Amino acid sequence: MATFVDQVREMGLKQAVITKADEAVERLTAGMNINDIRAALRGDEPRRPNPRLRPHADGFWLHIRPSFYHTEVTHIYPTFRLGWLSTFMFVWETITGIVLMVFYTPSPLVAYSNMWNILSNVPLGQLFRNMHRLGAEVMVLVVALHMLRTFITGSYKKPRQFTWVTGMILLVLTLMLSFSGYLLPWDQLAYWALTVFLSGAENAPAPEVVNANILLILQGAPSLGADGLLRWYLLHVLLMPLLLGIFFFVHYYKVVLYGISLPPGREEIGEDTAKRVPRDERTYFIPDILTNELMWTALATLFLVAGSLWLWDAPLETHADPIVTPLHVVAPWYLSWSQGWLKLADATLVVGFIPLLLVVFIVMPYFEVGKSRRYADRRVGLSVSMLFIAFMLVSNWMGTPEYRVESSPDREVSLKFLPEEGVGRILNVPFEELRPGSYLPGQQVSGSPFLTSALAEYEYLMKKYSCTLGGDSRLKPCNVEVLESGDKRYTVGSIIRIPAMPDPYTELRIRLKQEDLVEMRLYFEVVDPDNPGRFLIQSDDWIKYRHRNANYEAECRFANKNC
Amino acid sequence: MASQAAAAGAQTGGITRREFLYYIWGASIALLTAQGAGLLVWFLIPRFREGEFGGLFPITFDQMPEVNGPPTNVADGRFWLVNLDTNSPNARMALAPDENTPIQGVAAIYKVCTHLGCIYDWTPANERFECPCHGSKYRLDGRRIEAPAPRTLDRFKMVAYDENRNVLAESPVVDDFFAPLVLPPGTARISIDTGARRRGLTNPLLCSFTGTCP
Repeated sequence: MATFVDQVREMGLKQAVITKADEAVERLTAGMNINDIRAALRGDEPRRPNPRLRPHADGFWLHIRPSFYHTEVTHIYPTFRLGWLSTFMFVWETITGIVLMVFYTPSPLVAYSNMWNILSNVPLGQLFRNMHRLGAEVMVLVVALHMLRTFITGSYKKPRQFTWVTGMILLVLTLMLSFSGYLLPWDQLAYWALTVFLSGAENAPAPEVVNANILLILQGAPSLGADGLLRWYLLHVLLMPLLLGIFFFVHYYKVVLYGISLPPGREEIGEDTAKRVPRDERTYFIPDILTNELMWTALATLFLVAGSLWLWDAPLETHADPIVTPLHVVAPWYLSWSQGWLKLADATLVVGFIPLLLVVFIVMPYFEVGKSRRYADRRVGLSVSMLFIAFMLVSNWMGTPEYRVESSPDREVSLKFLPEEGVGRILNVPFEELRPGSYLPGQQVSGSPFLTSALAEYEYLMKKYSCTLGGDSRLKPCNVEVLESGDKRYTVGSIIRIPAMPDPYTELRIRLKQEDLVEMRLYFEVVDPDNPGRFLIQSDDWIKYRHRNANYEAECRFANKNC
Repeated sequence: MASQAAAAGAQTGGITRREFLYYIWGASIALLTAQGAGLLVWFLIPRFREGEFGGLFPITFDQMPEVNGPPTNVADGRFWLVNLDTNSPNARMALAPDENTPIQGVAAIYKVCTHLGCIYDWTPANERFECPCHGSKYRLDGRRIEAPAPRTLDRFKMVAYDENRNVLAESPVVDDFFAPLVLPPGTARISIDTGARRRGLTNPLLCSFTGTCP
């Protein structure tokens, strides 16, 4: 072997450097030199022996990837790239998560202030938090769609049953990863989502002593606090990613072993030809699949970065308060169905039903052994799956506050107009317009356009939760139900009836609490129509404060908040 | 020798010494793993001292709500204070058809919903406790109006003292549950013992009597 000095003597410095660089590239790619790479990118035919197969044979990174795919599975249909996207999201979450770990301490004393430090002080902190949180939601969506696609194309059938089993495990791990991250900001959203989840674990259909100890192990103390946060942090950053990584490799190994199933119409019933690819139907990983994945990486990154920058902000509520559950607290959307079920049925039943459902899904491919993957032959299975999706969508709706958790109408108006969490419609009115006084819904305040617009919203909300017995033309007429106890219930609406205030009086009272601080209080008064001396509702206990420098309007402009 | 023994084992279908020893190795590792798992569970269960939770919360008389009036929120003790008397019923508190004896006295009701651990709140306009998480509703004394809660709200023990701090009365225990305490004459101080909590009873839902169950 000639030394570098010999080479310089022989071919001159420039040529020697190029030769060295070529050697280095060939070593790094485990077999492709610069010309091979350029030829691949140009779309030339490979030389013989084909250097584009060597990175698969000799390299670490590509040894698990197949060197070619059946051309039929490289189009958008049938995979929609969802499996690949799931993997991408996991890598994305790992990277953004590690960045966030730098500025986060899992302690109730500082976790929440860490969040504000990340949002307001750390360069790009808010971007990284948004990217991590958006990525978590997208990952859940992508993994769920991946499962749905696998079901619809019948790809769980023999020989891929075990791939489906590991996929189910990965789905559960994805949900648990997303949910365990929920607790870490230590805000109200986090605290109460976890409290409900943990209380659910306590209600599992198991002996009392098991349940009590499961709860103690999961939260490290009789109630959710420092130990619970630390344990869920460790689950989130260590155990669950580790398990997900392990099961990912098992899952992906099976995908490579059996090949990606072809579109159902492309092969004979009962045959599996994914691994028998004729020469003319091969699409080689290098360059076609690799460049395609580069494009998807770029597009997914663009979507996630743009979404995090301009379209969406990760919510952060007020500091966790173990003695106040906010009204209308909701589970994350991907678990909303469970909140819906829990409103209807006994908690033990629901908590027992969910693992049962998972087991049914996991073993499904071993029982559903119909040979055909074609849609026309699987009408029952596909109809059942569509019914299941409809059932889950209805359950998800049942998880929202509209279903059975509506408070009294005055509270509903208060909550929407002056919410406990977030900015709502009045806190972002510029401080100068919030002059002390009493304001009516829909009142026009000259020289105060923002306040006027907020009061218009106030009027809209009042109309939604009010009705009239006396023919007030602005309100809808009341439905009156007489209960067995003799009490009357007033509702509004014809199909969906919501509780309403009959002919209410309300006003927004603003007063200067101290310099640069106003108190905003909502007053409601509803006279009992049958007994004018008695009030059905008389409340003025809904209060929020607004400081001159609270800067809600700037927050709105800056963070694209809905205000 | 070994191959002869293996051949003998294969012929008779029994296990050879070598195979047996491998099973012993495997079993010992499995046993160690099981022990490790058990120890891990033991390790993960938190330890705390006796009497670490709960305590005596003194109540002043001006905290006491009026009879069948809206409850008093004692946030740091995590309980609501109620004052009940079904002999003077109102919209908040009246006897249900399945209740025969009057409900009278004061009670301290644990603020945690018996369903899944949320903190419910008093909704003045609806004159009942309502849980924001899954929509359980309770009457002023904690009995369930609407599901999904599995039982009446839990209660803490109340203790009434005279001026010399002698115990005059404690919450009576009926059906393994604290009944409301009728304050005896001469009561000067009241304490709530949040270390002593009893789980609520499973009575029929009140909405089933009024036909208002959703």
